[in-house]
Amino acid sequence: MNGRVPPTENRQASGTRATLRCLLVLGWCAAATRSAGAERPDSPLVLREHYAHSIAALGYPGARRAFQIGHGSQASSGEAAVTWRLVSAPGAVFTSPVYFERDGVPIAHWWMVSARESVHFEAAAAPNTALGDSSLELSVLATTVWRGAEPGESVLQIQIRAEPEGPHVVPWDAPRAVHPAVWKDGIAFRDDKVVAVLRGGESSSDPSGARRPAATRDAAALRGVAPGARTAVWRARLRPGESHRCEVWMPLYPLVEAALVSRGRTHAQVAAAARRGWREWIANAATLVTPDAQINAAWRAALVTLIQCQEREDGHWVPIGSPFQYRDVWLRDGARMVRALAVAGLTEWARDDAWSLTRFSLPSGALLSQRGQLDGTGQGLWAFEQACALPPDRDAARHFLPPALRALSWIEGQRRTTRDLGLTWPGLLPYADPRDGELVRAQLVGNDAWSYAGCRAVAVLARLAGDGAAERRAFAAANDGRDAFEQALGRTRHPDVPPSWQGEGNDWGNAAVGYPTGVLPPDAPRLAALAKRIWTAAGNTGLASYGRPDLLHGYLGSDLAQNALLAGRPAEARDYVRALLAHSSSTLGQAETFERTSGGFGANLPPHGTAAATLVDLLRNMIVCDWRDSLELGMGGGLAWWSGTRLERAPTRFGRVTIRLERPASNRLHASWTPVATLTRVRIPDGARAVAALTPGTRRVTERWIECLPGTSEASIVIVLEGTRGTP
Amino acid sequence: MRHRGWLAALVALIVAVGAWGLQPRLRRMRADTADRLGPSVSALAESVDAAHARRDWVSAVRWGMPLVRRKPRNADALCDLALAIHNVSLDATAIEGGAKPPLRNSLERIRYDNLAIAVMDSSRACASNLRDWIRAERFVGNFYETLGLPLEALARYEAVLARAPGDSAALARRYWVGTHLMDPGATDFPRFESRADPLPNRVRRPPRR
Repeated sequence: MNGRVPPTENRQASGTRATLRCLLVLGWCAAATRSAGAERPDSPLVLREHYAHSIAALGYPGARRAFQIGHGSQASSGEAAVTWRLVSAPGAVFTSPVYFERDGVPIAHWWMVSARESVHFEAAAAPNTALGDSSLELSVLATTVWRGAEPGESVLQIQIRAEPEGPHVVPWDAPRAVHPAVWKDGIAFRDDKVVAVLRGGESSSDPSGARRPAATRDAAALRGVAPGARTAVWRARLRPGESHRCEVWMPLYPLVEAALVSRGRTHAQVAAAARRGWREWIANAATLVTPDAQINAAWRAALVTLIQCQEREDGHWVPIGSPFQYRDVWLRDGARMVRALAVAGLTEWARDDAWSLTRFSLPSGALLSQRGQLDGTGQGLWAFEQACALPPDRDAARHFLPPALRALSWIEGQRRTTRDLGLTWPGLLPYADPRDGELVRAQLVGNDAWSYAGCRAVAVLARLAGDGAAERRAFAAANDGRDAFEQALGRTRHPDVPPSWQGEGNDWGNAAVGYPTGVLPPDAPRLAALAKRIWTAAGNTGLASYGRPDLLHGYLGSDLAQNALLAGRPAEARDYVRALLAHSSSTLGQAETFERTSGGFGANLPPHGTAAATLVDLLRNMIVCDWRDSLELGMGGGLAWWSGTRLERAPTRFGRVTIRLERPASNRLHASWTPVATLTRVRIPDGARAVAALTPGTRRVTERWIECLPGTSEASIVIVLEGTRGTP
Repeated sequence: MRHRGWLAALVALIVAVGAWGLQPRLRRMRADTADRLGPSVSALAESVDAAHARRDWVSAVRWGMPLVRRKPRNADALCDLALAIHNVSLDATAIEGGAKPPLRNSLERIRYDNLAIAVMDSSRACASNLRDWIRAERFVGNFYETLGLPLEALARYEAVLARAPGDSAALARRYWVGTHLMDPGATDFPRFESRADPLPNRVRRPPRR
């Protein structure tokens, strides 16, 4: 899906002031992180926030809502929001963006900093079955450190209300508030239900380890709020270097009885549960390590988004569009997520998600998730193939083949009918009005590209399942679709690939005609022209724009980058990755659409599931690619990636593999991988040329490619260096 | 043979008398069961009508379901229920409270869309006259049109026209769909030309064997 709500807000501060403030806070956070032990996996990974608002999702697979952290010092469950204010500070108070932890665990960290005090926040969310099967609990620990030279009083105001300030989303199932949320004896109520709890913290010694006197806390002031107040205050008189803590606990869904509050766990328990759970999820996936720490973090962050976008329904996992505003299922997004989960080695999730997509089957066999989005059938079929072929699984293919054949019949029938009716563009799908993407009623090019991909996917499924007749039928349908597509493209007067056969619409499905649908070869000149037009329209930012030049898109350009990668122009793919990371949040999430100049994303909050999915797919293909008939290694990384890149336990069409790219000497590259029963081709990175292949079973084909016989597991290559462009 | 004939007649008489004698009791049992199930058929039908009148589709489904269970071959009840289910799926706003749609996600919406088609197909199958048959077939065409599947919709409208060539609603919808199949960019309000075929290039193939 694509965001239909245009971003409207601008950055709140003027450019120079905002930049200075950002640098100040960033510098302070970085310093604080270093002093707290930056090498620890649970320390915050401080990255620049590129959007106008810093927002992060704290969700969990199976939950039907996610906590929103930010913008500013805020946490929201969707039914209640807590805002922290440092009211004792005499001057300005700066609030940092939100950061996740270094090992990818989505535990949020941020700071509020004044001239004499700093408050570090750590927010963790984890399931708590005592609160319900799909409920989560959030615990936020605020630790104030007195930085002033003289003792003083620190006052942290904690405000409760129904919704946070700034961009936010009210969940589908959140009722409208009848009464405002209020504090009463340290418990916040909204319409007589518990939405937050203020808990006493502890005093602490300073980080250097020297024991300090305990902070003087005013116990009366801790919860010294009149019943019905919307703010609570936390006061403490602190000496230089002293710190004190307070916790706020929130359930994802309001509690009907105050007595249930006792079921909430302490901050340490919630944080430990979150770390344990997320580390396990991340460890189950393929591991990517490159010399570029930001790429590694982006891979983990994308996995986290994909996992957060897993809901549970009718006993199966379901891929949703995003943790906030897109808690719904789209075939176009779900298919991308199935692919990403499959290539990332989260096979069971990929298969279960794909099976959930069969629920979109109509009596005619069509797969339709949203009205008028006829690309869904091809996308669903493609998702089935990804789930069953990465790695190949005969039983899974047999399971998916019956609904796939029904969908194939629908595609065949539609094409036959548009021929019989003598339509202007025969042999293709009829008109569609997707109310999204192309935003036009027309015969959409993307629909036919996806139908082609769907037919090919059925052929692959049938082959895996051992059904030769179905395989031949599906291949015939694919060839028929490609012929009609090529004929139609030849009839258009469009210089590249139009969004619709009628020529109208936004660029959308036409971006997918090379990768992943394959109806055109990735090196087709029309695709290069399409990419050039789209990159240029977006001001050569490296990303694609959507609808208008100033509205950049978080994943629309991904397929063009994949085309470039497969067409032997990996620098474009690297540029795309670099541009995407330069337009990501401080937790490395991507908004679907955002204003180029202001970074505003309106109500279309990051992270977006498809942006995460396409990033995972692209990074994987840059290292190991099975698009063609051989296993291809090192397709996209620059020379720098050869200084120690590894991708472990990555499923491919040829089996699960582990790849290592190394550069043992300045003129030597060494690749090692799990051997497969097909040819392996190693691409020499930009900036180098192959001179010789030293390992038995390998040979230099060109200065760019080394070919390795089936069963080979390593290649040692002599290179010479040349000028290059685009380091990853 | 004669003895056997008398015996059969006697058994039939006993069964008939017994059944006649049991009838009030059976009637009472049926009534008891109906009472246990809830409101009477007429009360359910009135609730369905009232819900339709106030466009409260969630309630129309709530009352329509038990009505159809009680009158499973009633084409009117099936048609009303299918329309209500379809409208719940379409509803952007709930009738009661909040601005949220009644269905949480697309999986639920498509489930409702599938159910609406199935129930309307049942209404068509249970139609006892041409009018009811046409009504159901036309509505299924509407459902497919709403889903954005013009070829499926066209097939339904043409099925109506095959049995009732003068059906103005089916003629109009066929004209609209056909016009846009030929030219998707055509106006939303094409001028209806009764003698014009919106699909002039059509090739009729012999039926597939």
